[in-house]
Amino acid sequence: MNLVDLDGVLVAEARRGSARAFERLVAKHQQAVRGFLRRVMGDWADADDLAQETFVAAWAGMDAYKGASSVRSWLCAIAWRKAKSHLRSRWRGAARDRSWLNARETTTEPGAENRMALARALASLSLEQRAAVSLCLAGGFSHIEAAEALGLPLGTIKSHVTRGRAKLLQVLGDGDDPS
Amino acid sequence: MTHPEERLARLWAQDEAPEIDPAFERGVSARIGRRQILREIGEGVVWAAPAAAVIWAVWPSIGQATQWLTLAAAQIGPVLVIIASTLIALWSAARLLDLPGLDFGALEYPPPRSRPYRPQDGFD
Repeated sequence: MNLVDLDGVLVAEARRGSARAFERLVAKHQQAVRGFLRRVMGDWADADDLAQETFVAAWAGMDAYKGASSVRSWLCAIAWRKAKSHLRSRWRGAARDRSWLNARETTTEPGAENRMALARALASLSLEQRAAVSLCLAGGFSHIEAAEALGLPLGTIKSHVTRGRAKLLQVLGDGDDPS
Repeated sequence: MTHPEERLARLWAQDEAPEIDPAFERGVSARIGRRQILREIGEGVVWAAPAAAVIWAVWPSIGQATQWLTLAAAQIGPVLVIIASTLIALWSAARLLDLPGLDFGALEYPPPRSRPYRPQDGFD
């Protein structure tokens, strides 16, 4: 049984009320969803909180999953909607990228300088570009999967990834590497 | 891979969540549990509110129809209470005095412990 088939079985079991099957889905996809949200939102605590909300929403709306896309894409689509809504409310009344950068600048974890560099680079991208780049370059999603997750046309995703990657490399290439 | 590409890959890796994270999974389960409780309460309210309204609306007619029962209970009630009190008092006295022929072991809580297992008992 390949991984996609396993997802299908787990979703079917979870729909029948199996908490164990849903727990396995969470365990299997939490890394992808959290990674995506962390890169898009910048703030890890907010991202992990939204990731938990994403799984709760998936559990509540399990019947809405028709199997047209992969479970990973479906979960990231829910996460994307939540992230957009959250970021909109966060950015209301504040300059978007400055607010996002400020959230990152409060970080005191090890490697914060490096993450600041990435934050600066990501802040130079639009939100959709950032999401597309996060999924395709960092998360290993195919362009089709990313298009399903973000609800954007395939051509737009390809363009976002190409331009976003070029911009990131330019910003990172110009800056000093603190490590 | 060029220098900025290596740096980007290294930075992406720092944002990666752990592959296995029981704390995160427990957090999701707890949130789902809370959501389920709220849903059950909501469903209960959905049924209880109309039921209360219906009972409130029909109570005068129910009260009239069951008036005889209320009157009967008022007359028989004290007698029933006296009988029940007497039975409980007798049962308590018998238990305290440990009267022969009455086995109260089955009513004990916690139940009496069985004899500990000994190797010579075998498995039967």
